[in-house]
Amino acid sequence: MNTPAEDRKPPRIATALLGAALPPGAVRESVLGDLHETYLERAEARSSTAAAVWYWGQVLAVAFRYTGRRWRRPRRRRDAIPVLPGHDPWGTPKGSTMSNIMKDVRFAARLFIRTPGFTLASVLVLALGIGAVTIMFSTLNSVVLRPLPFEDPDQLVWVWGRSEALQSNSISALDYWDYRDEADRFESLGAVLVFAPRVIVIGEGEPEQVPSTTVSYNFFSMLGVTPYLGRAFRPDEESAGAPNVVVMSYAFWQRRYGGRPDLVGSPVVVNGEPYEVVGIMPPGFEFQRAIDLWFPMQHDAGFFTQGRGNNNFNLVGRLGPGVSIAQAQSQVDLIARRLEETYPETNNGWSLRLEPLHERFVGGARTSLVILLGLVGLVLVIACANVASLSLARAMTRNTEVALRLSLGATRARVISQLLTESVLVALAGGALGLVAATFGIGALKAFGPDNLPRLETVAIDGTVLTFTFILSLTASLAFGIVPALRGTGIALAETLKVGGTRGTSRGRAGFRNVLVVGQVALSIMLMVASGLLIQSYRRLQNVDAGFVTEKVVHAEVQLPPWKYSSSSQIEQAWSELHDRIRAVSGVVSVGAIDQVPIRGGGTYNTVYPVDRPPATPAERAQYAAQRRFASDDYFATMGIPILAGRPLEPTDRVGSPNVLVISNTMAQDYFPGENPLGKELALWDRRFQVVGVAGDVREFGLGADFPRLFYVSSRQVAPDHMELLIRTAGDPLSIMGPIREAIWAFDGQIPVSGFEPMDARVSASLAQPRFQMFLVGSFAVIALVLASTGLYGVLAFFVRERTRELGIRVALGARPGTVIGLVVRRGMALVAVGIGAGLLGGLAFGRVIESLLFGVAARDTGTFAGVSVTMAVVALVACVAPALRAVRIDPQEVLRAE
Amino acid sequence: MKKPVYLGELEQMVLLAILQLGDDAYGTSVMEELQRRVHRRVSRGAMYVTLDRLEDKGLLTSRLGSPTPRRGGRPKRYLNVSTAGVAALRRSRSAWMRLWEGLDAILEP
Repeated sequence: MNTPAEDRKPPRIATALLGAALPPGAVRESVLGDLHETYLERAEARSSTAAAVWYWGQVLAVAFRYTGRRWRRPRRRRDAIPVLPGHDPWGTPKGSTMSNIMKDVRFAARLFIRTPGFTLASVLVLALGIGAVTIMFSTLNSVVLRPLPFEDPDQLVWVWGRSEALQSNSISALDYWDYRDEADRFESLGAVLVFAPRVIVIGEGEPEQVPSTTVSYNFFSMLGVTPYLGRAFRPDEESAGAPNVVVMSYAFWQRRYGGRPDLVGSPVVVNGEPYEVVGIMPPGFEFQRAIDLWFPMQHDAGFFTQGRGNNNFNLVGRLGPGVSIAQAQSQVDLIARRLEETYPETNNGWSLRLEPLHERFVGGARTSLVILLGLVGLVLVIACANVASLSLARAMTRNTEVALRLSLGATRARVISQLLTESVLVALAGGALGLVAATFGIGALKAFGPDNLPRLETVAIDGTVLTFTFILSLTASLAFGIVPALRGTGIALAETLKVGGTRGTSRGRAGFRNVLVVGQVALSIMLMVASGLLIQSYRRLQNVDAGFVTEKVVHAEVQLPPWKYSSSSQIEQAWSELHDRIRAVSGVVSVGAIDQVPIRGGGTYNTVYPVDRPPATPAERAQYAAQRRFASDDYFATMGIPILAGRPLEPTDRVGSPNVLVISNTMAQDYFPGENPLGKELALWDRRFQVVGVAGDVREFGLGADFPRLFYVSSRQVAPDHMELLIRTAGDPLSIMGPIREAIWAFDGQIPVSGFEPMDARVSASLAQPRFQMFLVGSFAVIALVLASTGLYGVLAFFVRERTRELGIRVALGARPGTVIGLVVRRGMALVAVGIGAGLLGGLAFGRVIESLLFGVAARDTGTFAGVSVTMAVVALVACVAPALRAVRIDPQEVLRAE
Repeated sequence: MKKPVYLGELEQMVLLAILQLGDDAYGTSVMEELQRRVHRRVSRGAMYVTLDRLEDKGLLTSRLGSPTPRRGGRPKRYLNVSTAGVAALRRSRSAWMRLWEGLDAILEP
């Protein structure tokens, strides 16, 4: 777990930054070395994070000292107008382009030091925008864009089972073996169990329950992953009765066995049976989820690999060289048709659907991340508009300088390039600071982001992100710099050079600044609309009726050790004993059990159809699929799921008694529209089941998902050794968790209990993704609102300063304060009104884009639009107040004297 | 312009710390020595800039050690007080001593 100290590295960006600031040679090397050394000491003594924060602090402080030193050397007299070298009026020859750029840079740097307020404001605003975009982009980059960590990942495809009703199903082991034998357009075709059953490992320490799965022998080689130690499975280990072998994860090997190399070749005891460890996977190897033990799938070994239509495996294939997905697809289509003919009972209407593995893994995250990136892009556009506005205001104070340069013979292009250099420097500084902010933001993202975002833990700033941010900064510099530069140099010389001649040219610029304010308001409105819609959507999700009551219900996953409880009567006996003991704990109201609790998704579709209406065609057969659950009799009462008709499962529904089912309301309506479902017979697994009850619908696949067709088989009739217990308590569920655990262990101390938590927490965890989106977009909207209102404030403050004379005269002529305030406020609010109008129109168009993230709220929700407009108007009004008050306080006498 | 005759306070402290440390004087150890002996906290930036300045003035010399992995493959800059540096310290010390002369009665606690 611990990274060896020498392998730790101080933050690379910081090192690069300091490297650039220090003079090359001995000083740079030794300073960086000192810092590296101390960083390591600190990382060992405290944490890497604390050391990284310290490192950043040191880097900034040292870099500041050195840059300060470099820049201060060529100090000139402050009141002198710096003459742009290379264009001095004495006609000395022009410098080369490169030296011009260097001169521009030096000049700009000096200028920034003289106007720290403007520089700081611009850099901070840009850092905010660029930092936010960088965070989202690095997330998109690591989660979506980066290739999967397997060899030649582009050749890998995910294989879905497909029927008319279900586009995305798993596949049975028997079908898999047939496909593997025949599909030669695949270099190899592997299979992995859909589930990750927890198995119990004993020997060398406490019994432990770890996630395992079953894979085809070629699964690892198909991915191009070779074991760290030992070997992967051999083909003969798939045959029935082959010796027990297992491949172990690096993490489990380290944790439980201290990384003993001689474990390979030795037996470990899993579920009471010895298995030979044949290989250890490399550190970090993961496919879909963390697994500690992999078993080979074997013919005729247990429930999972038996029977067609018993779809327990996901297929992953590596395409042969030069084979396209379409070519492979047409081959598996042929095989599917042949299988249909050979096994019409089970395979009618079934085929496979190939999808790039990358798409399968990250496709779901892409849409929302791209939308979030787009939204955060708006923040950056607002930031650019804000800085452009600042630059325009400043350009006015530099009219004289620019005019003087032009009149002394500088070409307009030369002056524009000087002004753009300034923009580029500001943008790069903003970008650098944005990167620093992003490193912290990414830390927060990893800590608080939703667990179900794939590869979230790998998010980092890499070369791609650095390049992206660099280009982004340059683009931003053009975005906010080009207009001020063009306008700043297109001035009437004679007019400007007259003393105080700023008035003549200000009109056009003020106009453009107004446009910028309108734009900022409009974009903010769009972000606020998005954020408002997501908040509404989240609220609705929270208030969705899940179909069950989570309050005061505790969840626990329990696995009966299979070597102790093997026959169905033993298992049934154990469960009922466990139920009784838990129910006896004081404060427990009732105990229910089910093989798969709602909300988190997962579960199995089974083909089930009315006995009197067997499907005539494959297409019809495919229509008859429903989610299957094993539930205990008291499951419904415990979860507060109403029984709408008939009866719930009962303790008498056990092995030997008639097979019964309770079906969900949706299933009842789909299967028996307009009929009474009670007493109907359904065919399932070649057996007949009688419908004895109809239960209320449950959101099995998350609060935002539709009700599935669902049926419950009595767990006493199948006796599964793994169940999830739900325990309803009278008081605080947290306080009773200890006694419940003790009660389970009093029955049998070797029963592992996991996932012990209140049901409320599980439901809340299922909302992590929408919560995350709501939080992110909400922060974007707040940033946008702040930027837009400061932008408005700036424009109005400038307006008041520019009109001091006019306002003064008005006051002198007896205008009342109210009139003056009204003048300023009207001006500001007119801009805001236009902005809100434009933003609402944008929001209408834009709503479609985020529609996919919304639940239960229309993208054109009137309430949201109204609320957002009012918020914007109120905030804008506040931004108008200070300039308006300044206008009132103008002393007319002073103004007139100044003329 | 002529060089200043006397050393500044931080310069003196740094040169003395280097002498105290002997063969093991480099940026970080000098900072630690000052912290340890006189509880003087010097920022890293100020420390390096002072070292550069002292070297520019010829009061100390430096040589690069061999790079180690613990330093990210970068060498140490070992510091040595030059003859001129020792002379400057001596000059400063005697100046202080002359100024202190006869004031013990007032300043002794």
